[in-house]
Amino acid sequence: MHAMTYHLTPFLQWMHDSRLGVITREYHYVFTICLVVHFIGLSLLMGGMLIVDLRLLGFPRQLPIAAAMKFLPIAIIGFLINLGTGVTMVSFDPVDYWLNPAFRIKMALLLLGGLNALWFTLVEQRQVLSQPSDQRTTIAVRTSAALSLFLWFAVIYWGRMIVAFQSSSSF
Amino acid sequence: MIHFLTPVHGLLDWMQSLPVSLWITDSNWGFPIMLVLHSWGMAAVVGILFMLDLRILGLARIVPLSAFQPLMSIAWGGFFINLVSGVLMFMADANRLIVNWSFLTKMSCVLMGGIVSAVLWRRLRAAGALAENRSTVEPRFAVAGGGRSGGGEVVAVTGEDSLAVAPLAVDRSVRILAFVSIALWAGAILFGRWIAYVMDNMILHGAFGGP
Repeated sequence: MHAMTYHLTPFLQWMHDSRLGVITREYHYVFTICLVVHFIGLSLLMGGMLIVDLRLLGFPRQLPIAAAMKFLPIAIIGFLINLGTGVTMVSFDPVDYWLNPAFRIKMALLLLGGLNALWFTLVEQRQVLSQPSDQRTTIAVRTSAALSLFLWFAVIYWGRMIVAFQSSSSF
Repeated sequence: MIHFLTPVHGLLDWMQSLPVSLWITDSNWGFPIMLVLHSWGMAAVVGILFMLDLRILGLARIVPLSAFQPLMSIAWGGFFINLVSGVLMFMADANRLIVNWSFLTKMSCVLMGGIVSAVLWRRLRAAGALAENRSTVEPRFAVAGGGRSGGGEVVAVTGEDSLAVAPLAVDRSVRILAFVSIALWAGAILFGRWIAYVMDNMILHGAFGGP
């Protein structure tokens, strides 16, 4: 089973054999620390995204949009923390993660969230920042913000479900 | 070993015998659903409080502190979700959690984090920082022309000017409160995660009378 999956997915094999994978398997506390830091990164990411997305949806109205957007760098730092800790944890056993349906759904949702954020940044951001702050955002912007909130909370849901789908519990 | 808890054992046993406790421990989805709710609530309450603390420590200084007044309802919503899901998860495993040092440390962090955040909030309110029309604590805005965004980007006039009209931003005791708040909520996450490892160790070493 594993041998076949390795053959089909050289990338997973490469990740497994990488120095990062070797270290993560040799020192188990690396995985434990990453998991704790993953939740702190989550709080930074979600705190920033909540304020930005809620403001794009119109709440709280007294907060200027350009000011709310200043929380984006904090959210991005949270995302990068979780990217680093996430890749490290996956390198522990990439095939096991790849065979986990919850992990695949989480990755798909992450991709959608990234595309949504990219679309907002490239297409909508300039117009949003230049409009009067007390003016309602466009339906496209509000849809993107609502989608963003939905996707990030769904990412948390499926992230939590990874353990539930794992045969062996590694928390 | 845990004789001082004997008086509450009846209560803890009763909690664990409740239908909702049995649903959490015995069903496939009870416990994962509780963990999902707890993570969602954490994202809201810790996320918003982290942003408030970081704002006080000097990040996103352009954001008026009064904007956090309505945002605090989001944090309270998250706290309520975690109170309910947390109490339910405790009831389901009360006898083992009450002797789990990581759980007790986490609850201490939550309690102290709550107190510190409440004190910080009262300090902001007392200083008038949460009033919408108080210009003294809001950074002044200017519109930058010909900037990277093609003009129209709102920026603070200068950092030093903002500090001059926003004494709270440099109030050392409030900044210390914000720093302690971040440490305590991060500690709550750390020791919350650690509960399971302590539980595993206790099971491994027969702390509960063996399987």
